[in-house]
Amino acid sequence: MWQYEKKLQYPVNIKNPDAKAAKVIISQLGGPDGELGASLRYLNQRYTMPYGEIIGTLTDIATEELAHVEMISAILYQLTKGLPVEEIKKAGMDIYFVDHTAGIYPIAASGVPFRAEYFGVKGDTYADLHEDLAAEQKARVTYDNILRLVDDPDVKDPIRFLRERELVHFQRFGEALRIAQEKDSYRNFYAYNKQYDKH
Amino acid sequence: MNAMTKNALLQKVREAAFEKQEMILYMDTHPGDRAAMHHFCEVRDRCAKLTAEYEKTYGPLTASGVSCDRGWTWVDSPWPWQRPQDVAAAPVKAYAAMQNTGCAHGGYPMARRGK
Repeated sequence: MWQYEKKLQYPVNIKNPDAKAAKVIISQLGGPDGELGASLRYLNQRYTMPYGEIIGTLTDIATEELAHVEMISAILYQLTKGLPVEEIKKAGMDIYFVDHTAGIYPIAASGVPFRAEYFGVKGDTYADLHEDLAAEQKARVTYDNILRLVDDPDVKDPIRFLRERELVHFQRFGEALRIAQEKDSYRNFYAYNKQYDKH
Repeated sequence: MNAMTKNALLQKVREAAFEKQEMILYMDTHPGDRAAMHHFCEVRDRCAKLTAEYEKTYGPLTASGVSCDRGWTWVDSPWPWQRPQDVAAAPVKAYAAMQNTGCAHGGYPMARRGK
């Protein structure tokens, strides 16, 4: 089970609202490579993993991703709080506002609501860990793109932190993959799931 | 006090934690209830004591609950969804054999340890 801590993992203090920035950053909440999908991906993959090191890695990274959901939500909250309707219209955020006002609702930047198709659970150690490695890289690229699209240093600072976490998670998943391969068999060059074939 | 079995002690932790959870939800909508606040603090302390007792004997309930002189036991089995037969099925033999062969890396670059 889980417990909540009343703090952000990294502080978010944005002085100037910016609907345009919120419109792209929301993809890291409810988009294809967003934090919500990341957390659910790892939480759901844990059960059928064969080794404690991998289950622990998935559990602990999934938990951290929930903290990132909160950070992105805090960024969106601060970017949209108190925005005049004129600003909302000018930024093209009216199409979000009409359904959600300034509430935090997980959608991709394109407007597509969060979908479970954004993550995969194959039930296979190697397929799932490779998905996780790719997911961390894709999330890193999304943060790179956000950094290209946004100018405000108050926004860029927590985004840079989140981007760095993707790099660290990628490293840990690489190690988890190596652990799986070493524990299964040093002859398992082709990275297929030995556990399943034994059953 | 007699040492309780793992499951018996875990059940006591679970019951105390559930009581604490119930008190937390109640307090959220009754923040001014002083009698309930007193009860909450009693439950919280009982829960912390039982958790510490469990972790000391049987291992961590949270990652930071590991005991520093026992190593990183956080990744040890079982996980909450694993039955005894699920843990026994873990194929550790291949790993042991690999370590004895002297060719642990098998020539596969992703399996190379940075030693």
